[in-house]
Amino acid sequence: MKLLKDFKTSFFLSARQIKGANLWVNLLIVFIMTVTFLNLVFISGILDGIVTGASNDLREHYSGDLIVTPIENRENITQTFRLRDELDERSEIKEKTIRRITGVQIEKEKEQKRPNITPNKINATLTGVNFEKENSVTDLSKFLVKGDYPDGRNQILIGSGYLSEYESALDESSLDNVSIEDKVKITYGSRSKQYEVAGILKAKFNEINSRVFIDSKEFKTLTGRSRHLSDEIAMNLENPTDEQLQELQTKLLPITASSDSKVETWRESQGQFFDDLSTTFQLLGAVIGGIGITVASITLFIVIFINAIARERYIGIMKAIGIRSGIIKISYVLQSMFYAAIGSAAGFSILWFVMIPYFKDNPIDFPFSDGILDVTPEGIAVRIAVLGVSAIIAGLIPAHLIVKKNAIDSLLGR
Amino acid sequence: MSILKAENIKKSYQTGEITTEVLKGISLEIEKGEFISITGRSGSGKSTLLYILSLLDRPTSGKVHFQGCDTITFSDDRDAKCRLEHFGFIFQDHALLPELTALENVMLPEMVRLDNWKSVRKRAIDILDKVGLDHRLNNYPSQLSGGEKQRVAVARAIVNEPDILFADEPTASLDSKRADEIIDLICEANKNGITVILVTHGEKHTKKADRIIELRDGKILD
Repeated sequence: MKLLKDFKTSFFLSARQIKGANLWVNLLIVFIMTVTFLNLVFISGILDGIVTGASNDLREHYSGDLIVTPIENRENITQTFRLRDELDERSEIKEKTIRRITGVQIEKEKEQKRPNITPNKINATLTGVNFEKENSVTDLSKFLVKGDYPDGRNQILIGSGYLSEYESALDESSLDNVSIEDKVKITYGSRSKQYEVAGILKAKFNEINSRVFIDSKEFKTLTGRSRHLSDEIAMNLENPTDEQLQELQTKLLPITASSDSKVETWRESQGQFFDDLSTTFQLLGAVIGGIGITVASITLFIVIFINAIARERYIGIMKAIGIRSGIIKISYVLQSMFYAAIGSAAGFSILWFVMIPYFKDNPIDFPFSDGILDVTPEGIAVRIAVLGVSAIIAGLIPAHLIVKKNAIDSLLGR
Repeated sequence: MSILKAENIKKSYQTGEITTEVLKGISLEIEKGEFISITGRSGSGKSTLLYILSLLDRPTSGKVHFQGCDTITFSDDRDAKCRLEHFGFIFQDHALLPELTALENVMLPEMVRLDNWKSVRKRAIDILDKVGLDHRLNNYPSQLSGGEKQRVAVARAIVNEPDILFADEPTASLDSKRADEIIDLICEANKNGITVILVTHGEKHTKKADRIIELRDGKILD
């Protein structure tokens, strides 16, 4: 009861002090707190966004929600059709695409053949797909930067990573002067065939950039590989939760095992890399955020300290008329928390209604992903709490330094 | 039994290697309901004595007993509680908090002490009415004249019905008419049973006191 009464008095004093303070000073402090909040959220949000963006890209445009791949020490998924039929029976699976992958050589013959000229030929990864199904699962056509999605068996899509025209291409493993409607020769062992480049694909990850896509029937024709063998089966579910994915994965495990394959969730298929990257970026974000919060705390400390020094005489008066030090200190802490709360609220509004929508529409163009602002309500809550605790410390220390002085010394300014 | 008793109070300040002795062994007893006037020239130590008697400052040596209790053993919070519940203060300048209205300034000590702020407000309004400021309740100190500010200070000092009212040259910054008004208010408080300890160097106002204690060079003049 006594605590509540003291708190009420502290609240009353802090409210009156804020009300009585200079408007511009109040606005400046709130502005500092707002900027600090945004700094805390923005840096870590962007760093998280890079990882999340790359991870989401791989899920949406490569692995799907679940992906079946050969088990260790096996080159291919066996009994693909039996597996496909089993998967077809699962109503949870909305769509799937079967990929067959092998190494080939691609060559674009130069117009003038001369003996001492290096042939325009590279090693590449050929991926046989049903173009229609692949597009429904991975939206492959989204990455066309030139040309059209194939509509005939003799057409291919080529990743920009194989083309010297694109900056991401490596010089020694790229083809010169290849564009759409050009004919390229694909060689697998002793078999070769000419194909027309229907389109060029460019993404921010190798699973598209460093692949050549061909119709799966042409793949068999060229490689002679049994259609019972495949390398990847990517599938999507209807808005799955993590629990649903794991549940279906568990059900599919015995089925895939009999096809020398394993089924992984999109997260498992990305391995440790993104988790490690995310942890590193979180650490980096925490360090940068820590510096930001330290600067803001010092600023708030200075502002509260100057305010307390300027009001030292009034603190002396309050002590003289019998107001306990604790009540005065809490009133300064409440002031400090008020600034932090208003700053956080303003920062949150800017973040939620301006920055997140803006970066969603205009992602930052990072080399390996589109950087969005990845912030969660939990993350925001933690940052508000961090700012609140900093504000409490920044308010308490200067108030304590002033309040601990003898009442009459404060009153007389000694 | 005396309400306040000082025993051989000494107070000195150290500035570098120089020690200045402000009070040199003051002993006095004040009875409940007395009106004491402490006088003396500037630098005689009268304000220092008032601060020590009112527990705002600590003596270098000696003891202060309030209602029989040795206050030297009091913690800062106990000092504050004692001032809140038993003492009232009027300072040379009004010493009002600038961001509070006249009414809020008067209410403040009682807000700390009591739960029911409605009754605190009512009592503060009554007191301000008594000192003739019922029309200035919601004015800030900056909107009040010097005399009005000091009347608010008197209202704040007596709102908690203190046992002792300490007044440190409360009329120093006022003209004669306003000074008389303030002294009249203090006398009225004394008539209502409040012990008054008034520090002043104005001879005119000392006449109202039951007893005059004159200080010279840190000692009570016989």
